[in-house]
Amino acid sequence: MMEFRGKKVVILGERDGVPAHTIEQAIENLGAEVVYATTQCFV
Amino acid sequence: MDLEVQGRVKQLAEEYGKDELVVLLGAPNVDAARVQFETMTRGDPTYAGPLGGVELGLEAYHIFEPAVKEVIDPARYSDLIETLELGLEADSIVEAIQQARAGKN
Amino acid sequence: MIHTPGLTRYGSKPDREIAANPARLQELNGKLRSYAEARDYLPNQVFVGQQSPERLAEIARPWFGHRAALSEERKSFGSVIDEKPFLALVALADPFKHVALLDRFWEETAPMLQQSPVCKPLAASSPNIVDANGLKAKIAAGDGLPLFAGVDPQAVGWIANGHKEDGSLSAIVLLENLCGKVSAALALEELFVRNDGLKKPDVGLVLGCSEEAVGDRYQRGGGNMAKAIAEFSGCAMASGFDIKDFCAAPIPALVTAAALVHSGVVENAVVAGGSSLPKLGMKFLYHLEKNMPVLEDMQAAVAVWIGQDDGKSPIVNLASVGRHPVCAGASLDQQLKSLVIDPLDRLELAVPLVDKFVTELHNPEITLPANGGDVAERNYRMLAAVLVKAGKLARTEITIFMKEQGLPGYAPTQGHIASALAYVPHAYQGLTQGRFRRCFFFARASLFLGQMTQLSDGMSVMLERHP
Repeated sequence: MMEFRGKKVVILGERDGVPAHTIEQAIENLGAEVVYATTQCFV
Repeated sequence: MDLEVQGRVKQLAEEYGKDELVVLLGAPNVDAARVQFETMTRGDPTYAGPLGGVELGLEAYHIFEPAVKEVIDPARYSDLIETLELGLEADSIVEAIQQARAGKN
Repeated sequence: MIHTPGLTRYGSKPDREIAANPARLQELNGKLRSYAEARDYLPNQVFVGQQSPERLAEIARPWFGHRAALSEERKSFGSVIDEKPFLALVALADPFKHVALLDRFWEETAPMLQQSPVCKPLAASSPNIVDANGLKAKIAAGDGLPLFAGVDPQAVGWIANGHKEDGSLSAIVLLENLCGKVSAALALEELFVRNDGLKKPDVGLVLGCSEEAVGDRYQRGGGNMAKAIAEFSGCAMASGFDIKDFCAAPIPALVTAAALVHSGVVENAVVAGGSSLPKLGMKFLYHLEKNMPVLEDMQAAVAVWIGQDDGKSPIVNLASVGRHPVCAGASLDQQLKSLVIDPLDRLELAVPLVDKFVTELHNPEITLPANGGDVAERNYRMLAAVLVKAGKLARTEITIFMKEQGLPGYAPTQGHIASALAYVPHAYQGLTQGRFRRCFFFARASLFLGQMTQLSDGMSVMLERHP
């Protein structure tokens, strides 16, 4: 099982997949710090 | 993979060290997920960006992978991500990442 | 559509790659298409209405390298224009005379303008002319960019920086803006040439929905491209303004135009989406790697006239508009719920009553080699999943839904043009001469790219057959 507590998280989201904002919301209570979140748009 | 993003990740890996960082991917298909995973672990396979030939060896997961999914509150996961799983090739993405992690292509 | 191989080097990605490695230019030029190849390319034929989108499902890829046979029964609603007359129009559309054309090039191209029914009305003036020595001197001095037609290494013109210290008025930005202006004006001409019902003085408002940012250092993106288009087109009674919403902008522009016409503010409005120069060659490195033609050599524009109820044209149903509120977040499924499920619920419409769901129709032959997947297909799969979750579609119906009520991608990767707008003329045909009753348009905007928010946006609207 992943342990997020105390980790620094980099989020590479994608517009047509899971955007960074959504991943951020999903893990916001897991005790990790998001240090970089970006969403790529392919078109 | 975007060169600017590669540069930022490289910088963060230098700043925090690879043991402290976790990368979460949200790619919508197998090809993109595999390239991103490769770039975060063994280096940019196209050798076009700052991570070309740079083996960061970061811990990287797709958000659909069980290891990540099981630590997220199920109600939250269902609310935010479940429909995306249904609409994307989630099983193939997970399989591709796990194969790449095991060193198979 | 305009085939612009010589301008492809000034797309954002090629421009950066060539600056980093000048040998890239040779590689790029080696894989550009001829005008005839671009004109006869099946997705481009679909774009201008010479073929139906359904044809794409009948013909296996690769579509490049084959000549699409012209269908005799279909009437086009657009054309594929060659780069030379386009460059000449870029010079004519430049009121500040930053563009200069080589004298020989203008002599050769001026007759082409007069022969084209859509170029001719825009070609009443003369451009700034330079001789071969003058052009050589400009190139040697720098302070601007040389212009090329196709892969010919000899420059045919020049565009100067508009201001020494202002990046917002640099030659590359001015060139981008002029391309958008000219292509939008050409789309307007297609409207006027093919519709007897609309005359230039009748246009009260032009709404721009392209992706450029016209302005200067004190007001980057100040606008108003729409008015510049109206002026260049000779729509003397029109004013205009731009609507910005990344790739989704055409939908809010259509809704705004329809609302203003419906409320009586203006009688006729035209929504104009001009082309995007920066997006040329965005995936060219992948295309080179796969040894295929660089397919992002097309600029494209669309214009839509919204006027009074004439008893036969399709209706823009303003009660159908779907918006994407802040609280809906950034996920595609949430977005689709706001843009599709909510309007369907409001209208109490079942899924089978909509003939086509129209969204991002990017040509998969461009995106697949770059690991981007098939954007249109992915959108429909996700829409189907959202419809299933909302109880509006059975899981077993997903495949047939995608095939029957979705569309294949065919548009060049010109952002807002591919985002549903390109299908409006097809929908118009289907809703007037064809069997369609309803086409539901929705588009999405990647606001996070501007780094002011992590959110996205979108809007939707239904076009309906006249009752």
